[in-house]
Amino acid sequence: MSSRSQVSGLLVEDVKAMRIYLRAMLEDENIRITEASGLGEARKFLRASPDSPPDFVVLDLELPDGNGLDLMPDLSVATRVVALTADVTREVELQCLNAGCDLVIEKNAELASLRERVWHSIAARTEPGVRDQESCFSYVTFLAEVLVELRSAQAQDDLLQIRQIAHRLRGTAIHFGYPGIGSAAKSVNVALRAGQMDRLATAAETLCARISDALEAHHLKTRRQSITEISSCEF
Amino acid sequence: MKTHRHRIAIIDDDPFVTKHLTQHFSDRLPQTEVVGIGNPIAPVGFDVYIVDREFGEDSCGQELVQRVKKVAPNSLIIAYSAFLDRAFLRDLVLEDCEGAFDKGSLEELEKMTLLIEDFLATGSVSAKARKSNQGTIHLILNLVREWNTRLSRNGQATVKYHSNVQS
Repeated sequence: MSSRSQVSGLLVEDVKAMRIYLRAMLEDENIRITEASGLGEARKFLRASPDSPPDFVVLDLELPDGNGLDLMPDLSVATRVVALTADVTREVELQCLNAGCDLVIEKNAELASLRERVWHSIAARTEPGVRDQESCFSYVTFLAEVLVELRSAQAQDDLLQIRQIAHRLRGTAIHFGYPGIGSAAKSVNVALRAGQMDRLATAAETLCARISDALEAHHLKTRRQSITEISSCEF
Repeated sequence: MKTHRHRIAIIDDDPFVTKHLTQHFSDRLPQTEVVGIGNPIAPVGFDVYIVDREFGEDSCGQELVQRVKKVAPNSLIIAYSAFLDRAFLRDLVLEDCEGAFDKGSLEELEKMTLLIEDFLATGSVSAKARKSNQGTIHLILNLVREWNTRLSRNGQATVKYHSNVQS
């Protein structure tokens, strides 16, 4: 197991009070935090230390000098990116995931879990890497299989199968960085238990859409990583 | 002098859950041995048991808690489920389960970890840990306790409900 003392994070947030709050939440003897109040400051920090990129970046999307996602090309692929936004819509979440963010967190509702989620997000790189990477890839494979099973169960009105899939996703998705799938799975279970079939159909469709989004985002991220690796090769 | 190494059993048929929790506890409680168990069995020799509610199509979590309680009466038994409804929570209260946590929440995982840390450090679940670590679930449990008390007063003993569940 790696030591937590190796972890460094960059906070990119324009509101000072929010930076103080986030720093207090994240920083301890094992995590070193650097603050930046906008894109300019963040880029300055990243360029000053190109050989030691931060392990994670907590990135506000609404910054005075631009959209937080504009920072993505400046970040190492090894850096985990947690996007912060006031309002997480499906479009915003997809936009962030497509840009290469690992997590999207709603400022008002989900900050309490930030620390834990940052740890989970960086775990794949700092913890015994191979096992974690393998777990993450296994989970994506599992999601692809589950999507097929879910579509088939929907077509056959197999409520038991839908319930079991939703139950399993509800208990695991958030721990592998897919909170949207977890909450969609919960909606399916709630609709099933309440016997609300019309609501169930919508919830199951949403769950399928969330899984598809996750698979698409994973595909894009993997492709981005491959392109970066290829472009860094010397021929 | 040889020191006792604490052991945690994660009894859950989902390999992603056991793998994830094993890694989580290995990180957070590095002096602890964590074992994932995929079948609904109650092995002896563990300090903490984290028990799933459902195994395949069988909802045998409550029965499993009973069996664990028999083989390891001084251990900490925690239910960890993706869906915690009132009936299940009530059954857990009857079995003296120390905590019930929602699998679908990172905050709940953190609270469960703190509860286990506290138990392993002190050998019991302190009142403080109970109060601070069981969060909303604990509040629900209190409500269920109150509910049971009222039912008992009205002649609808909880034992009757319990035996129905068993059958």
